[in-house]
Amino acid sequence: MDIVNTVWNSLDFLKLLQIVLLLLVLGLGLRLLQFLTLRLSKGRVSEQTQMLLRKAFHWTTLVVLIMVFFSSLGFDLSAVLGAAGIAGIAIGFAAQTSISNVISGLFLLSEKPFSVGDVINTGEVNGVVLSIDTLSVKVRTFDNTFVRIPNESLIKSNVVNVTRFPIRRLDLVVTIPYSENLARALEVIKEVVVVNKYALANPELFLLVKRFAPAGTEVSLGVWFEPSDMTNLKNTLVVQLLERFRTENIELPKSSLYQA
Amino acid sequence: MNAAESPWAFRTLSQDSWYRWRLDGAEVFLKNVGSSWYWATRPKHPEGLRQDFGGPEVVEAPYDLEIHHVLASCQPVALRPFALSRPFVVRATRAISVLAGEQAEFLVDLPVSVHWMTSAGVVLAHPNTIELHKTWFGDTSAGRLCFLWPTTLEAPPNQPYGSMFRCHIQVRNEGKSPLVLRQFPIYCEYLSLWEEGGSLRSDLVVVESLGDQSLRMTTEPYKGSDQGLLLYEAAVTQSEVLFQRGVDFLRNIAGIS
Repeated sequence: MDIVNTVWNSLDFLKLLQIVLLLLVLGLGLRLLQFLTLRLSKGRVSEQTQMLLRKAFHWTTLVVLIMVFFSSLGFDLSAVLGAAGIAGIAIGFAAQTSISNVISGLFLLSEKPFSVGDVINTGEVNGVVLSIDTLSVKVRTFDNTFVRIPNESLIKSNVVNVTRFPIRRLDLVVTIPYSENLARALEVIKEVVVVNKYALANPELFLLVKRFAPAGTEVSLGVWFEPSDMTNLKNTLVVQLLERFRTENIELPKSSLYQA
Repeated sequence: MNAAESPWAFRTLSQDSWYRWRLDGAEVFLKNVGSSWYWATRPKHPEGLRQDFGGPEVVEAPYDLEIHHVLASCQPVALRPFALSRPFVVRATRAISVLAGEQAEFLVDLPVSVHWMTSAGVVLAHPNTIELHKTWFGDTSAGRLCFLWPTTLEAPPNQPYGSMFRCHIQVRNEGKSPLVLRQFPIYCEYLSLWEEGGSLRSDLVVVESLGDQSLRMTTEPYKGSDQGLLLYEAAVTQSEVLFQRGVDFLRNIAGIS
C-alpha cells in the first residue's frame, strides 16, 4: 500500500495525462502497423500465418504498453527483465514440449507440406485437415472423428498428402495363371480400363509384367483418375475386371488381385 | 429448315403433354403443367452417335426414366445449346508437324450441352445428354481436366450432326522451328455458336506458335447472321483468358520444350 501511496502522491495530473497520451499514441501506432501488415500480407500468406501474425502483434503490443507504462511511472524495469529472463528459462524447461510444438508449427507453416482442406495420411490418422494451429493440427477423419495431432509428431513422421496433385494413380496387381494366355489377359485389362468412365484417358494406363510368382505372372496396372473419383473407380474397375475375365474364361487364382 | 422449325426455336408447349427432342442418339423430354415443368433425359455415349436430330414432338410419357420437377412460370420455351465448361481434347492419329511460317487448318465437330430456357431467359434445367470420358491435359502435377472426344484432327468431318457444332481451327506457326501437334485442347466455353443451314458453327479458334517457344490461343468471331446466333460469348476477353489458361499445357502437349 505504501508503494501505491508513494507513487500516487508523487504523480501530478499533467504527467498522468502525458503517460495516457503516450500509451494511446503507441497503442494506435502498433494497431496501425498490425492493420497494414495484415492488409499487405492478405492473399500472399495463408490464413494460418495471418492468424499467427495477429496473435504476435496482440501480445507484443500488450507487453510494450505495460513496459512503457511502468517505465513512465519511474519503475526500474531492469530487475523485472532479469527476473523475466530467469523465469523464461524455468518456464522453457517446464514447457519444452509446448515450445517444440510451437516451433514445429512454424516449420509446418513455412514448409507447407499440406494446407487446410487437404487429405493427409500419417499412418495412424487419415482425414481432412481442419486447421493448422500453434500447437497442433486438427484433422477430421473419414469416419467423422476429430483428431488432434501435435505439430512435433508431424515434423518427425512421414506425412502423405493425398490431395497435393490434381490427379492420382490407382495401382493394382493382377496375377494371371501360367495356364492362361498372358497376351490376351493384357488386352482384356486395357479394354476394361478404356471403357471405365472414371479412368482418365490421359495419362495412359501403365501396364507392366512385374514378375513370375508361384501362382502365375504378376501384372501391375496403374490407372490415373481424378481424386474425387477414387471410390467409384475402385468399386467399378475391380468388378469390371473380374466380370470380363470370367466372360473371357480367364481363370484367376485365389487372391490374384490386390492393391499395390 | 426455317427458324420456326428449328429444334432450337422457342415455342409454346401444349399443357400436360410430353415433348421429346432427338439429339443424335440422346433424347430429352419436357412436359408443362401450369407452373410445373417435368423433364427427363436419356443420354448417349459417343459411340452411340447417329444422325437423328429433331423435335420437339409429342410422345408417350418416358416412365422408364427418372423424372425431375421444376417450378417456373408458364412461358414459351426453347432447347438451347451451350458449350461445356471443360475443354475438349482432340488427338491426331500421327504427330502433325507444322513447319516454320506455315499454317494448318482443321475442322472438328464437337458436342454441345443443352438446357431449356424460357422466353424470359430463365433456365429450367440442364439435362445431361452425353456421357463423356475425362482426360488430363498437362503433366501429372499441373494441368486441367478435359473431356475426350473420339475424333482425330485429320479426320474429314462427316455430314454435320444437329446436336454438334463445327469448329474451324487454324494453327499458325510463327516460330522458327517446326511445331509438332499430337493432341489439342479446344476451350469451348469461350465460343459463340450460330445456327446455319440446320447445323451449328462456332467462332474460329486460332492457335499461334510464337517465337519465344510459347503458344497463344485466341478466337476470331465467325461472321454469322445475328438471326442465327444461339449463344454469344464476348470475344474481347477470350484471347487473354485462353492465353493464360492454355499456354503451359499447350506447350507441354504440343511438344515444345
